[in-house]
Amino acid sequence: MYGVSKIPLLSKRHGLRSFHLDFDTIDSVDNILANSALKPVWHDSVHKGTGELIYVDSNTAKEGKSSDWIENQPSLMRTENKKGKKFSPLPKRTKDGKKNGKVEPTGQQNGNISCKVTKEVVLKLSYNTQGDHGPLLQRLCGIVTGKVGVDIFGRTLHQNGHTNTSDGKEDNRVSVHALLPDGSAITTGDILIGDIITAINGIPVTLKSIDKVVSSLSSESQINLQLERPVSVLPNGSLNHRKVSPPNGKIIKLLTDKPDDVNTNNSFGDVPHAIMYLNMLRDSDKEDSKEILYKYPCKDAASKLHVIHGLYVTLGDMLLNITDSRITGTSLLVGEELVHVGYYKWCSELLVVALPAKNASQHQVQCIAQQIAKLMSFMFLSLNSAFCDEANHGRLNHLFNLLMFQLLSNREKVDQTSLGDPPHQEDIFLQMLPGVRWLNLPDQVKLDIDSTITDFEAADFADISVQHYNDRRPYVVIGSCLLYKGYLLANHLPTEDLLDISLYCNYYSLNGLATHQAVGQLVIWREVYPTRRVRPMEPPAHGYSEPQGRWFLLIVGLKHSVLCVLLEAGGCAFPVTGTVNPDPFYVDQLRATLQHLESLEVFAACEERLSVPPIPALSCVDWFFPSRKTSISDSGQPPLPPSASSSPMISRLHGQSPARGRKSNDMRPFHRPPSPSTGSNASSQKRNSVRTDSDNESEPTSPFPSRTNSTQSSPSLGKKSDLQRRGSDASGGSTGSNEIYRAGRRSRLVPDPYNLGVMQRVVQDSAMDNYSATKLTAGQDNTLFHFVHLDTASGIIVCPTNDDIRLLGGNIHAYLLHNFQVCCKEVRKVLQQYVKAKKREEGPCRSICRDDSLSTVQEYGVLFKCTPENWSDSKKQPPTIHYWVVGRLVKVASTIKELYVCHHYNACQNAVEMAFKLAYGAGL
Amino acid sequence: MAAHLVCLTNEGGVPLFSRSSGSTKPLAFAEQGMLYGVQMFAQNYGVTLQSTDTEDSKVAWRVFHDSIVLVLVQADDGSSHVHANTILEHVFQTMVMYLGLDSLVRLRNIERLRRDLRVCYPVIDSLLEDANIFDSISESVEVVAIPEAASLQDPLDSFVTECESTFGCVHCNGRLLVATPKWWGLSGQEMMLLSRLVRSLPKNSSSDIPVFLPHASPKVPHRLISVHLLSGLVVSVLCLDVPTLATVQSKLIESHWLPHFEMLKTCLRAPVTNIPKAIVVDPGILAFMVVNTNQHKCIVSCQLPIIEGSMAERRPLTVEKRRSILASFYRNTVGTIFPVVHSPERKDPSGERPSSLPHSAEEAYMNALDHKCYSICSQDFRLFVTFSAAVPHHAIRLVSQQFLESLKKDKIFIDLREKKS
Repeated sequence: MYGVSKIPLLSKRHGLRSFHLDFDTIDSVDNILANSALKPVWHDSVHKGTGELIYVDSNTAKEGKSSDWIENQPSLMRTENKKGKKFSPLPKRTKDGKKNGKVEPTGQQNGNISCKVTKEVVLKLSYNTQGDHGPLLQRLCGIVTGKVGVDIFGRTLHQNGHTNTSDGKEDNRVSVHALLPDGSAITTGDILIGDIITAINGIPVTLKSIDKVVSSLSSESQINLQLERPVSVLPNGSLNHRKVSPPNGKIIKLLTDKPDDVNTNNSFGDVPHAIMYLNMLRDSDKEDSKEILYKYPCKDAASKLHVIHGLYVTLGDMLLNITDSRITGTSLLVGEELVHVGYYKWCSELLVVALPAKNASQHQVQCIAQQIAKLMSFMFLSLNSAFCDEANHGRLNHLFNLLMFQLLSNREKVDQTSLGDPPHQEDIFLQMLPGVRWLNLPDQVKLDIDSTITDFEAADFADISVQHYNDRRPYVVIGSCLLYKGYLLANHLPTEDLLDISLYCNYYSLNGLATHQAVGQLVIWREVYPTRRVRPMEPPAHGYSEPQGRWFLLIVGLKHSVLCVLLEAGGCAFPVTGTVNPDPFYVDQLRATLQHLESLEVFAACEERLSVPPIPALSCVDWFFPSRKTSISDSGQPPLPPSASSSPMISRLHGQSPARGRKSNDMRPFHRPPSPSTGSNASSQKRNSVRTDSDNESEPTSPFPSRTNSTQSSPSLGKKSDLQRRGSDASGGSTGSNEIYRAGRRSRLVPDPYNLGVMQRVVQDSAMDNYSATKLTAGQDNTLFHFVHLDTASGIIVCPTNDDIRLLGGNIHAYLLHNFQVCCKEVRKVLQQYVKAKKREEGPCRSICRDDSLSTVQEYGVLFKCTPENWSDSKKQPPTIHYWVVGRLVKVASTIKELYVCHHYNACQNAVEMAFKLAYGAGL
Repeated sequence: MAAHLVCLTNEGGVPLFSRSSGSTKPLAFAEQGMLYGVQMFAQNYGVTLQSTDTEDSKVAWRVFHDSIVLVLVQADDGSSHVHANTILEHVFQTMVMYLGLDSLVRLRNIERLRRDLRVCYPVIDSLLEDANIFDSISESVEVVAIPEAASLQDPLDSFVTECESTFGCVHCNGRLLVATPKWWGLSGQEMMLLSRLVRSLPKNSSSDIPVFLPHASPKVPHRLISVHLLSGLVVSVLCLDVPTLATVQSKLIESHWLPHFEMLKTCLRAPVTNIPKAIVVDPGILAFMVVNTNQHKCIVSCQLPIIEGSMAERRPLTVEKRRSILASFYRNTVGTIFPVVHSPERKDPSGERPSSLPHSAEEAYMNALDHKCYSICSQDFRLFVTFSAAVPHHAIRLVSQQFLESLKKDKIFIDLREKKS
């Protein structure tokens, strides 16, 4: 704990740069003293032996608690079933006053039976005097109530609601529609939106009577709410928490499990999976030499995959002799199930990862094994020190619990796809790439982030300043990176370090955690061994060697953002010995930095960025299908009235939906859905919006009227209003379109060099500075469906965000993306041969040499055919669409960039050109 | 491509034979034993060991009928394991073809079996080597595409009838030239293995070999009578007791084939490029393979002439290089993005990948520094083409499609099989 004690906390240095003004409240002496004198909240979570800390406080959303509720549900239901009292299987009966203890199916049509669980919650009342309007319950405990069946989004919550209305009787039950952030109801976490309040203090309530009941109780300090929650039950009796299940409840639970008492709360007992670390040197002299140094899951020792551990060792040994190359993977049939095993050989030890083929392909398992090996050496210096030390096993179990949760919980989703649901969007491909997804932001925001982080890293302000105390600072900040919802915003780390850290974040599910849910506070601290330092790839430059020291990873998360910092002790900082506990001072500094960034509205800008239409413009494959039923109804009415449109997608993309707001308000050129059915949209748009000259050039005969550079290029009206609105923005003229890099003139996007017309227009309309470099594909229409661009030099992946994909929507599109990812794995496998072959040139001659016929392949494309799922019309052939999935390696200087795109086949595209546009447009 | 093949008995692990190809030294006895041992070890625990990858090679294990274990170690080219399984399947069916299924399922005299298996070596070696692998990886028979072949149909039919059989064919340089409808009705694997058997026969000889048809009659042998009409031109007929080889040689051959001597010579002189004359081949095409997956026929040519002044001339590739590129291209696309087409009789785990792709792939290409590849996978036809690197990317799709269309129309792909009623 010397971090605090070493630094005498004196007065703040004067003359800090602007951002320290914001620290006035946060960074004040009192505050820090308060934080350091008292133990920080996470203090008790620090691991005693290693100083490691993983602390998650999910207080903003209380998801953790709600998951408790879920876990309680089965038992709740059972007891209620016996008692037959509180349980009310049908709302109709409740209303009629007939109580029935039997579980009765209500919604058989899906094979799901919906039942309810009830719960009692005690709420403290806090009379909120500020708002004297609104219902009493809302003021007392922050519950906004309303009618059952229609929530504030106009969505039908319960199927039961239908039953009632169809009966012609009004549903009088009281449903929780919203929870106010400052109310006492939200803090308990036991009340969820959608719950039905059946009684207060034992008095049954209806919509009409609730105000009376509450007002009669308002003098009391606390009330007892009786709640009811519909839960669907599968026919086999297991609960199906589709609506309520928070994606993260489990993750948080897993993440916050005390590493020491993690044993095997692993719910995948029947799925064959294993992680093992085996000793390949079987020393017959020593009887006590262990062969299995570590195994996971440790509970079921009888598991076949563990029992045959000798097999892996023998295979590795034998094949090294026969083929002179290291073992990488095995396929086994365990019973009926195909299991893939991936290996990583380290000295005389072997890391073995086994996963069922349903969840991971052979290549993927091999990648996971390599990633685990890399992560282990990042966390524990080497595989041996990670697995051989018994003390680590608890923490390893903890990590692998998280990993298996990520990998194996997909299994249910795989089953779901067979039912006709669009496949779940998993980034199976992205996880295998060495890189972090990157979110491009306007220059101004980037500047804010960079300067803020740099200020923190420089550590030359008062309290950490070296000169100030004549004392060596405890840590040197090597660099930091800022992630928001799993997207990289800024990186001040060397690439290898960034990759190490992103791997850590991935395996600890931090990205998923921050994406789905605002985290109250997340603090992670541990000693790490960066790959770059421990195993340098390149020989040190002459006359300079990196200082030797110890490195620590500090991760602080706040809401959706995560700031990762790599600290160095030793070198020019104070050397440390022994166990190093997390330094509250640095934790506070990091949190303060995040808060400062928040105050600069950086994260609001991120949200804004995430909510604008994807740029480079993307198309949804569903648009390419002619005259589907929805689009027929669409073409009948102009999609402009926001409420009238039956296809929210189109209207949203056309910038008319209030949800999309001004951001998409014809400010940027983007793709218009090129479906013929949208022809009327186009004409209506012509009527409604001011269009530029270029519009006249768009050919009406084209079946796909979209012309990205011509459609919806900024009407002057919109721009003016935007300028007025952003009048306070200092950067002035060019900010009219500064929200997104692509539209700005300052961005390095190149206009289509093959389209002179565009160039001329750009010259003419340079004041408009809205030209079409946002379209990646060549040709008249935007035919780009998806892309992934990996820059191995900077470790950055550029690809459409999840929000972009959600915005595009489309049932077929989801399948397309899934297909894209699976295909890209194959494509990358071939392309990697090129990279590998280069490395192997100097290698020794082996008895069995690899077949290098395809090692010069730089581009690999596959043409797919897709048809709509569930094509009902058996008489007609389903319409088909063809699209390409293309992978391309682009050599730039000595680095290799990888580009994977998915586009419609009608226009021949040049992958190199797209890569060029993307790379320069991204301003990397 | 270096490869090792080990064959052992499943019970006891007695080595039956081991073959190696390429420039590798054969596997030591201990290594063979270990390859068997790991598999046995897994089996004892109820686990089936299917395959293992190393950085440069891959190993596949298969147990046939609980009696024979085959292990294949071969160089890795990044392709799916299904192709290694295909080779193992072919090897086993070769053994069935020569010895019959019964003697392989019920092992009585191991020493004798080991001796008997020696006859399989030529065919098995040909399966392991690189030179002619396209028919084996695509499980189809390589055919000669010349229009003159049709005029040999009638002589063949009458010759086969005279032999009291319905199965007969003429091979030209190891490739099928003309065959009776019944012969075409055999499975692709059978036709392919019989072609290889005929190819392995000594030149200018006549032979009378008992063969078991792996799928049609794995337990009852037939006699395969093969007579070299010309050097490289072999007429074969599958028959039962009659006629004897002597009868065929002395009476039937001359009367049936002498009148067509000139025609046979023409067929023998057919160009190695193996392209029907009517089809114009783009000068950029270096090698191609077209497979009819329904009729199990394929045409392969890796020796297309490089036309002077054409784009292909700038960076010529050797024939071996073209062949290995085309084969690797095939193996990397089929089984990963294109579905595998098996003989319907074959039952083993096929490629895992295509099933996980929700959409079906129709075309694929690879652009490399020294070549370009393109493939089209349609209903019955699959085309794999290697282009010169000089051919522009936007042209290869159109050229390939036109090429496939013209190939489809060729006479060779007329279905000659008897209609199944």
